[in-house]
Amino acid sequence: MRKDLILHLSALSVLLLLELLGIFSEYHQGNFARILVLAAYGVGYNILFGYTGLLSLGHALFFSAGLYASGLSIYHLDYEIGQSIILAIGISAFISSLIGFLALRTIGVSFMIVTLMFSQIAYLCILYFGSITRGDEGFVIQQSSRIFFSLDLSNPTIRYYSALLIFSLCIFINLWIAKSSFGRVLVAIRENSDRALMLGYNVQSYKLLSIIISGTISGFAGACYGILFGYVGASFATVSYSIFPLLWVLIGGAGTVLGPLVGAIFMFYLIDYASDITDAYMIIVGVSLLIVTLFARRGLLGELRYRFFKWIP
Amino acid sequence: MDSLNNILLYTENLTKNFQGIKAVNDINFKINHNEIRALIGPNGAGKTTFVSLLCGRIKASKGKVFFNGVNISHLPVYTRISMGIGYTFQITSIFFNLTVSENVALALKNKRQEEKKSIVSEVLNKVGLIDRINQRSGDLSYGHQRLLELAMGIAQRPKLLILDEPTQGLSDLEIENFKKLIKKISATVTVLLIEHNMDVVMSIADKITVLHFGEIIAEGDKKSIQRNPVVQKAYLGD
Ligand SMILES: Nc1ncnc2c1ncn2[C@@H]1O[C@H](COP(=O)(O)OP(=O)(O)OP(=O)(O)O)[C@@H](O)[C@H]1O
Ligand SMILES: [Mg+2]
Repeated sequence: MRKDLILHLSALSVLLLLELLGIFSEYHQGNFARILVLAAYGVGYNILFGYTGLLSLGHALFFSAGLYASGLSIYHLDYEIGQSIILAIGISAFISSLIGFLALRTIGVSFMIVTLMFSQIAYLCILYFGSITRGDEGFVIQQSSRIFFSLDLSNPTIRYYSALLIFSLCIFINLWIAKSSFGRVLVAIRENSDRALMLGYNVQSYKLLSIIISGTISGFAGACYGILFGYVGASFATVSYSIFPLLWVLIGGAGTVLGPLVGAIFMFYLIDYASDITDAYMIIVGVSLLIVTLFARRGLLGELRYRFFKWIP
Repeated sequence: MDSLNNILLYTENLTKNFQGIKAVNDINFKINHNEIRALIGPNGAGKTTFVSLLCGRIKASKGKVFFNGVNISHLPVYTRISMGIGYTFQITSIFFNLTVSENVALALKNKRQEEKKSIVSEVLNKVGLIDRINQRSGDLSYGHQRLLELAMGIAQRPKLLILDEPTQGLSDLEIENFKKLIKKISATVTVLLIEHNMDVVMSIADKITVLHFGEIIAEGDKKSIQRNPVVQKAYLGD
């Protein structure tokens, strides 16, 4: 079997064994379920940022598009879980095509600003249409609706396995893209888009496809997050939720499949422990991030790849 | 000789203005199949701008480009490339973080994996980079990076290969190899070569076009260009 496949299967097995052997306390089990779904969001973000080299500051738009599409359809229309996820995937694919089409008219800093603006518009819309979205307060998805083929998704153990499954699905998609010739062109565009163009690649449509894939995975993760944790709220559409995946990817390693997971675990527990110590925990978080970026400029996994394991995808 | 079906590419009144500067001014240019054409001219003459108009890297202010009889003036770069125009950059433009073989493989669109492998090693053999195949291209010497740029151009198997100062930074030995290589591929490829090294121009070009202030001031075989007083003045007056 290929080395890279072994690596990722082992990582997933460890996550599975932690649960099977009952190593997790209930607290960490809950944390990890959250981290896995958020890391799936990071995987989506990484396709665009890490592989294609486009820095978006508006991915919260895609995450919340999925979150609200599934949440609202369950809340107002009594959709089944499966139906609501399919709807969420469709809507986030549509929205990311639209945003991609518009935002790709710009590059660099303008691209960052345009994506940021769009996601702010979405955030304001969520607040404005409060009668439907319940605005700032958000709404809870009842336990009775969170049943998937008679599996109760609010049960912590089932929730953990579901999160692991969702994450696995996303990294296999990522792995497959990274190994495909499509993925190689994305990397070529990241490295030198002018050259990629002069080799005859339609750079714009590759970028557009990359945004669509990235946005759709993000939306899928958003939908799953709402369903597994039972809450949909406007806070998920704020700028913070656009910055988080960027941080996870930067810390874990841009353009590595497992980077978003590594980054998300790191950030989650860093904030968790730091906030136990002091109220001014953001200082600890900030300094730690500074140290990581100083000593592992390519992110934790990215640095490992650069120094030792060139084959890590 | 210049019968219409012998012409691979021609331009009509091709013009490019940069904020008032006519970098390329009303150029009517023809190049035949399997020709090696040198495009020379002093710095800033408009050579890079001219070839960029041919491949679509920049948009013309006025005029048309015909390739294989088709008007390609409004076609995007990637379509022109897939029609058979290959382009190598004056300022080395490779994927510095990828290996030599990955760089060349990227030049091979729509090819199966095994096919890619064999073309990559064939091309790297030709330019003399085969023992660098797995090296990160950013770690190559400048001359080797130029050769890689050339390898990518050749790998595309274009009908027209545009080379913008390919021998810049090559050693004498590498330049000799380069000349042989271009001679060899010209059996199947038309080469448009921008070159400052007159030794290279004189030993491989079939015909020379001289550009000055965005206009063609002379065109012809080597002897006539060497003797042309207008050309001499353009270079001396530089
Ligand atoms: N993007 C641009 N914007 C403005 N002016 C430009 C641009 N590109 C080229 N020029 C100008 O157009 C003219 C022609 O430039 P070009 O690069 O085509 O010359 P060249 O013949 O390739 O020169 P060299 O031998 O130095 O490569 C120059 O005066 C240059 O300053
Ligand atoms: Mg030039």
